[in-house]
Amino acid sequence: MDNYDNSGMNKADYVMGRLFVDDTKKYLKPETPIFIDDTKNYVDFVNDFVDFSKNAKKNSVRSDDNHFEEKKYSASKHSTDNKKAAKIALGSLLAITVAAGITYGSVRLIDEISIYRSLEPYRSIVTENTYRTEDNQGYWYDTSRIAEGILNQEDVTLAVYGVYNKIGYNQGNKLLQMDDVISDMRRLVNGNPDIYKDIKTYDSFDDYLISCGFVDSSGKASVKQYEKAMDQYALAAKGKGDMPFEKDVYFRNAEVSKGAK
Amino acid sequence: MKEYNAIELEGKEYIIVKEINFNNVTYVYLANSNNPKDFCIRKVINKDNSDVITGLDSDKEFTMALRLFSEKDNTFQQN
Repeated sequence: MDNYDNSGMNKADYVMGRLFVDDTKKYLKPETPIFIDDTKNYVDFVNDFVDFSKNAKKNSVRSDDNHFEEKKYSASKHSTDNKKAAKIALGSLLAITVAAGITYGSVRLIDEISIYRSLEPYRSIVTENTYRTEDNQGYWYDTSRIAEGILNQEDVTLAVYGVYNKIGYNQGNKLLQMDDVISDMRRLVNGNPDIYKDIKTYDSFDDYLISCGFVDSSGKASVKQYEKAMDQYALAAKGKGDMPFEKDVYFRNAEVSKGAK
Repeated sequence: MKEYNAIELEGKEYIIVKEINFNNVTYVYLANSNNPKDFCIRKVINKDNSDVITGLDSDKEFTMALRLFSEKDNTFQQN
């Protein structure tokens, strides 16, 4: 596979492609009919398998156009010493295994790629406002600039999720940083009412989650519920599926009533 | 030289890569001996007291057969 610099792909596609290919590579050997070509980008690679799987399905499932010949099985079996047989059979076996994996993994994979693509512009807000600490041992985030970056987006709800997706070096730090981001958003909105009109604000990230209904059975803030709903929202923003709630309702309208589905 | 089971379907020879029995139906995984990209799944059912190889009924059955394949021991079946 190309490296990122000359791949002509955006970073999100490249990263997901590498993860996918690396994950799949372990199943593949040169005799696989559709094998890894290091110069091939992952989209072509996935498409090869999707085509393989589609053709296999077309050649397997009866339809109005495809009745298939029926014959007695045992009586029709014969032995072959076709020299290519072993190689072909083994290659097909591996390809089928991968195709089966893709059949089950592709929905998740394609969704993940779509979510990643959907969030990438907002993840960039974090990247652009991340700095090395003075001792060069860690990073710090300019949450005020990040908050400003979010508020300048058309879809604040998605922007907040994109930032959430990227920020923090572990889950605990992510939540702390998000508290600062949400708090900085409130400060900016309250300090600049003419610029940020009709933007709803929250005291903290917890307050945001609870106010919007992203809660567990005991009513506590639930990042799992948040991630589940927002992944669906991010997919819908890419034209896949239905919005789990009205677009940007949690920031653009004062009324918060629907909650996460 | 090793021998492999094969069957002729639609005028083409397919190597029998795997047979998996599930719910009294045998799913047969086939690879065209001259074109490894031509792969298909058929099933063997009992029809008029004979084992008849036929196509799958639906996309759902195809997906289920793939799942069966991926969950079983994926070793090549040879004579």
